[in-house]
Amino acid sequence: MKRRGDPGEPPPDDDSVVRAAREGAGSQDDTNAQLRAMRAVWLSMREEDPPDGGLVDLLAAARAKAEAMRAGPTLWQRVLAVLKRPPALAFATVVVLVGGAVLFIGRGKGMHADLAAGSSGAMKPLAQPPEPLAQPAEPLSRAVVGEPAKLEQPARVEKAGGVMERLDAPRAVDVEPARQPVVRAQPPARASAHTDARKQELLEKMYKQCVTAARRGDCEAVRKMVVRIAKTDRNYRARVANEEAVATCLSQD
Amino acid sequence: MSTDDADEDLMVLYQRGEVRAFEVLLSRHRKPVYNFILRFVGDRETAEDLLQEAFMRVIKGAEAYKRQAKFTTWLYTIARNLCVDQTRRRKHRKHASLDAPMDTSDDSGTLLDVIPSNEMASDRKSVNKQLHQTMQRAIEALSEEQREVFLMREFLDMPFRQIADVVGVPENTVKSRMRYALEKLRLELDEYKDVAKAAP
Repeated sequence: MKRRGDPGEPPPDDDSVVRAAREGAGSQDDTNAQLRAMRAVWLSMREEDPPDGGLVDLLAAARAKAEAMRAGPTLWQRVLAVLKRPPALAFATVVVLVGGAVLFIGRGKGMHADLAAGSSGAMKPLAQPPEPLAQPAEPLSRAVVGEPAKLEQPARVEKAGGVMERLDAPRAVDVEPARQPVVRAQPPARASAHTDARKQELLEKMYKQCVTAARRGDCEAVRKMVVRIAKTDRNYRARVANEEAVATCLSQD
Repeated sequence: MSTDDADEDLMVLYQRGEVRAFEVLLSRHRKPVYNFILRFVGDRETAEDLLQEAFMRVIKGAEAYKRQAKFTTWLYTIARNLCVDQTRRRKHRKHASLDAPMDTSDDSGTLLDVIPSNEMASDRKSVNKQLHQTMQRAIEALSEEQREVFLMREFLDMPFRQIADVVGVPENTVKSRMRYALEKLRLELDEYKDVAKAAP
């Protein structure tokens, strides 16, 4: 091995820091001489040969590794090596970050949409006036003007829905009660006022129908109507009972 | 491939499966690495184990070696790390020193005595032996950081830049450590200065 600092040789120029230390220590000449002497001592120290104990194992391992390296890396190892490179890692990081951001934003939008759908769903019944209540007039008016044959068609009336259905079909009243949710969906104050007015109107029409049926002599229909009116308003029942034709029908029972 | 090839070229050849390239590297660096480790840890048996481990790591890491890296920097970084780990592990464990007596009797020789030497003149032998023992003791008395820098600079003739790479500190820190190491050695060996000056 190449050695520096033969005895008596000045120290190399690049050892400025070392020289500075030497300069700071008392007499420079003495220090330099001392260091030169020290260097001579350690450079004369013998180098020992390493024992050959593990050499065979080492060479065997080296051969095995050389065989493995000669075979070349597998496809999977090659892909892994490519992925380990800084540009690939940087790209993967960017993809993960962007993907995460997109997913997060998408999820946030989805949640907003769900919320919007939920709130609009809840508001719909309030925004739309109850459909059945908007079309009760036709069957009732027909019944009032004396078209009993049409009143006997329950399907037609059922389609109209709501409280108005089957004025002339009490069987349906027992089976299908009025659709409450439509009425419930309205704002409380507004809905109750609206319902009261409708109810009053309905009772009036039922009353007229009952009287008409009594005058016609259809006592069975009268009885059914009275039962129905009684369910809605007992005062109207008394009022209907005061009608002569109706009272006659009821007395026949 | 020839035995004059640069270490880096030999390493690249070994990566291609040339076992002979590794054998050349081994023959070239085994002895200096062993002596570096031996002077660092001060124990022959441990030095042998660490030498084996250092080259095993070179074999295992051969695939990852890049041509741009200086082979000796890599090799001595491995060796140095092993030495540091070993020194820390054995900090509180007593181990045989090169200049410690081999057995309990006072007149028994030291480990340094059994290291063969054929370059010393017989009349200087006893003086040099004493100096070497003192020197070895003084080197072992250096702090870990100062010792590694001193060994690499003075025994392996490494440039400060490369030592900085191996140790992983700035070059100025290396120079500073070297300065303190020399100063400490000078003070330790002050009483022998006349003997040292007289030594060949």
